[in-house]
Amino acid sequence: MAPEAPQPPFTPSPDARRAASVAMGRSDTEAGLDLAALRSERLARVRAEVKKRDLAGVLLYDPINIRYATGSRNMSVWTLHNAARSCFVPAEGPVVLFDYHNCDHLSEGLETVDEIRRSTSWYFFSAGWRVEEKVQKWADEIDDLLRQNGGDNRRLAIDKCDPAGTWALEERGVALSDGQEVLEQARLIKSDLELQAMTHAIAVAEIGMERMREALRPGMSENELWAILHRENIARGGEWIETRLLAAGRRTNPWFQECSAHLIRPGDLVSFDTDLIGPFGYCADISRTFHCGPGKPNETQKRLYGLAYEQIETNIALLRPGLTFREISEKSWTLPASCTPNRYSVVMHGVGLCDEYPSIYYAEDWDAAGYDGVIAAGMTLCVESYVGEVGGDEGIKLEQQVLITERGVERLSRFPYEEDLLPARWL
Amino acid sequence: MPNSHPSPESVLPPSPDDTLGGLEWTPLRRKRLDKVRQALQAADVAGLLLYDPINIRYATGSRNMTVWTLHNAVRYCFIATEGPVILFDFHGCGHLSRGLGTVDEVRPAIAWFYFGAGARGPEKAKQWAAELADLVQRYGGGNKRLAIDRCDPPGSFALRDHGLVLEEGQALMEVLRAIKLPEELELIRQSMVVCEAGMARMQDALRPGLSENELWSLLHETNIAKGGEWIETRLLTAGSRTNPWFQESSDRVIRPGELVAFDTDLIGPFGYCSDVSRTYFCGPGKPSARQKELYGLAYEQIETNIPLFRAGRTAREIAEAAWRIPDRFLPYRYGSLAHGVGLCDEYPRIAHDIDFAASGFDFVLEPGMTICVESYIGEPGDSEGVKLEEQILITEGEPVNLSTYPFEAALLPARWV
Repeated sequence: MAPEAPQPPFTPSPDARRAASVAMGRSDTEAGLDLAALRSERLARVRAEVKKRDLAGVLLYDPINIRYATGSRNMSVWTLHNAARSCFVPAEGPVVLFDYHNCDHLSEGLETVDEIRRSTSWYFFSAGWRVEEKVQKWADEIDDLLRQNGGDNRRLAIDKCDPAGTWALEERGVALSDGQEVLEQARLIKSDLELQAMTHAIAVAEIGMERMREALRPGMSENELWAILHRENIARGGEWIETRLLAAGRRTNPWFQECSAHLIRPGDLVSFDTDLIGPFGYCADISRTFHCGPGKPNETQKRLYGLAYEQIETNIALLRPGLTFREISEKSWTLPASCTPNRYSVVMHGVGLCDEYPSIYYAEDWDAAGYDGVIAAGMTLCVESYVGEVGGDEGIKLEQQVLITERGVERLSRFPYEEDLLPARWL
Repeated sequence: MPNSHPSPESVLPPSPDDTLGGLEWTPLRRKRLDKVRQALQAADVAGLLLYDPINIRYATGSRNMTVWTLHNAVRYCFIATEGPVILFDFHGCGHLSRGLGTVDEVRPAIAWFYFGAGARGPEKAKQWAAELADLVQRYGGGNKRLAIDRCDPPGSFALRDHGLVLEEGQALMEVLRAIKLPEELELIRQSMVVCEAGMARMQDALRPGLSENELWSLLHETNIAKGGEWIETRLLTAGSRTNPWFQESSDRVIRPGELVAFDTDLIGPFGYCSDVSRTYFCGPGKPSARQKELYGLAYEQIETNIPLFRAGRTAREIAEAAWRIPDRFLPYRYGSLAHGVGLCDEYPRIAHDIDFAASGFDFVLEPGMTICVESYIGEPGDSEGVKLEEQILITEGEPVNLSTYPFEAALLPARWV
């Protein structure tokens, strides 16, 4: 008998991914998601980026970056605006988490964290009149860490740091660079384990979307409808929602009006963008437009929906590894002139633990804001559309979350489009 | 601005009845902005640059993707000490701040953080700094001092390159936010109504077999449905997960006989924070003597400390006079004795006596401050803990409770009932 050929590495199909995500940790008879492996491969990616730049290390304050690098979480939204915890990841050597008062137990057992210290907080709410004293103490601690880990290497990347900290590190001869760039590059390519976690987050978002769709009735407020997505997300282990982008009727145009006590009326369009941080901290960023019955959508609503659909589907079809951001911008579907002034901010953007690098801008915005780069397998992107005419009554928001593969593109968001709103030629 | 049509029925006023006097928004927004301007004059700065969306909300009443902009620097607001308020907003968002009565001009924001600008970050930071330096020059009358609340290193360096001197803007904002206007107190009460409605829903729903997350989701749902904004943390735990504190809401299923402790940390309607903690008992059955002992001590801590909060008292005096935490509960004491609250947790903070030397700072309580008085009682190695927290208003006399949610009669030892 011939010896067995070596097995190719196992790459689960999208369906296998979904199956794995449903089973996540819920059964002792299936492997479930290997969270320790997820954490360690993410930390390895951060260290690789730190080494690539010949940095002594990176100091992280953004809770989303700390989560990526270590898997540790503590009051994520609150710490987005209270610099109460940080994490030092050296090129080599121990990862030190500086945590809030009496919070060590939260990161116990995380193999990614070598040491937990009490954070020296110098933001004003915590330090009050002692900001200057605390910032000097903090800078001494960081300086010590650098000397222990980096030797003569004084190059430190930092993701978020207010001026007092910047000057204190500069005085100590620390050469600061942008830590957000380091982490965004580390986070750019998703591993298979990350895709399993993200798929689970998307499944939770889609349940919430379906509950909203079922509940949609005239007389509900936008807020009451939006509350359902929050409830389903939290009940199923999700974390938070970044925005409040759900609007009905005329409040859908222009876009970016925020969810309110406005009452939804029969025949209104209801447009929303989930911007949902789900279970495991992964983002499900999907947009849809529903029609509130009773009654059928009118021709204008269907025409606009058809345009948004065409934009999304045309732009998804472009995607493949090797394409540049500029090529996407140039080749992407052209909005009718009546809708151009109200265009969305980007054609597409990266997504992972939140909206992330890259932003791929419209050709109209390229000179002002556009930057180039190359699409690669393993990137996850949200492909965007907003179609609303200047002076028009309503607007359509659609958005799909996709994965770039070696062969092209795979859809991560599966929530159907609205057949009632699609013009006949798309059915 | 392209495209504007009025949305006549857009948002209900706080009192949705045309026969009652409701709150007038424009005067409130202008009063808050006036306080900012006065602070800028006192600080002798050319102006203030705000990035923190909570500060922008206070100064202008303008809101746009608040949580997202806590970590994406896509909008900022320049307030000249003598001159206009210029809001730099995200792409295509000018319509959100029209008609507020506080914003003189909306310009497109320049994003220089990596997600927004990629490799063009340094170029964009320079362009951004040049525009701001121009504003400081135009309105500063030679004053190069610019207060700023938040700014990452590339921006700090770029502003310094223009000869600007950066001053502490967060302290400036938090100090002036500490004293609430009468209208703000009304909004805090409205926020508390929503928070307490969510707490009542959680209490009604509490049953064995529910997960912590399922219970916590009801507070979120109620908050959003009634116009609230977000919840800062996920501090709801049951049974052994209540000790030590700060474990986060999870799939853990609640069992009969367990304590369920939570801290709302809720940003409610109008962006005002309701920060209250309670501990419930999950039936069937009755609380144990140990559970009642823990609850009674937490209650005693709260109720002993609240009357200490009077205008004229200092933080140090309160820390020294406060309820003595028994030694066995000291290791797991809460991070502070009390803290300010308004649009979020904010200045001031009162450290426990035992922490005062390391992390405390002194100040004098003033009428109009709103304060959260904290308790966590849990012993190392024990199975449960109790979290309680009350939100109060400082007056010349007795403090006024802003939270009216009852304590649990079943958990209070007989001496307190």
